[in-house]
Amino acid sequence: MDEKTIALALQLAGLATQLVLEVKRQSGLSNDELLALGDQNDAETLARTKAFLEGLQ
Amino acid sequence: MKKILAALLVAAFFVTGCDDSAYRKAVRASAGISEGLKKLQDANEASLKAGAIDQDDAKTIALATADAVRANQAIRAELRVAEKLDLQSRAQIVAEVANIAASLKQLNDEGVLHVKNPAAKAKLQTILTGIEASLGVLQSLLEGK
Repeated sequence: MDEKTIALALQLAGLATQLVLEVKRQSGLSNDELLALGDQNDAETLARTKAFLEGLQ
Repeated sequence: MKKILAALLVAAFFVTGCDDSAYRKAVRASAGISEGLKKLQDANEASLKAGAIDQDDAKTIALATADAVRANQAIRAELRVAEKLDLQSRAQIVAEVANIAASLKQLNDEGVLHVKNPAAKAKLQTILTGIEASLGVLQSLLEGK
């Protein structure tokens, strides 16, 4: 395995760890907090995808 | 890697919420999908900026991400009204889950699979697997498993 492959594997493992930790962190939130967090994230993602697509044209 | 991550996420989901009701698991799955879609757009923008993906792939990924976000918003709107995951709310959520699944398939087939840069592709696939794991939890709940 070359250095590039190892670096990529480590990067992916880090990303996977972040995703798992996020699932764990969210388990401590109430239903209302989770719904609000989802609203906030989705609104942000929609606004960003819109701006991103406009920037591509 | 993909299978390991999916297994880890599903395990983390159930280990940290083994006493949760079906309703709470659905709320958590929707929040997990939101988080994943946000990370996906982060990675999409960063990959385009780094020149690791082309504009067409970036556009396809952004459009499918936005579609999945809108379907996830509809799921949460339904969850707010339902307050529990009964037969009626399940039926309405099933349609939106199918919409998310279709958007993720489009993301994969027309977006991520077309990415030539192996590092960018692997990163996008890892995030997509995380979103699919949350979607899998929702699908299991709706099937009453």
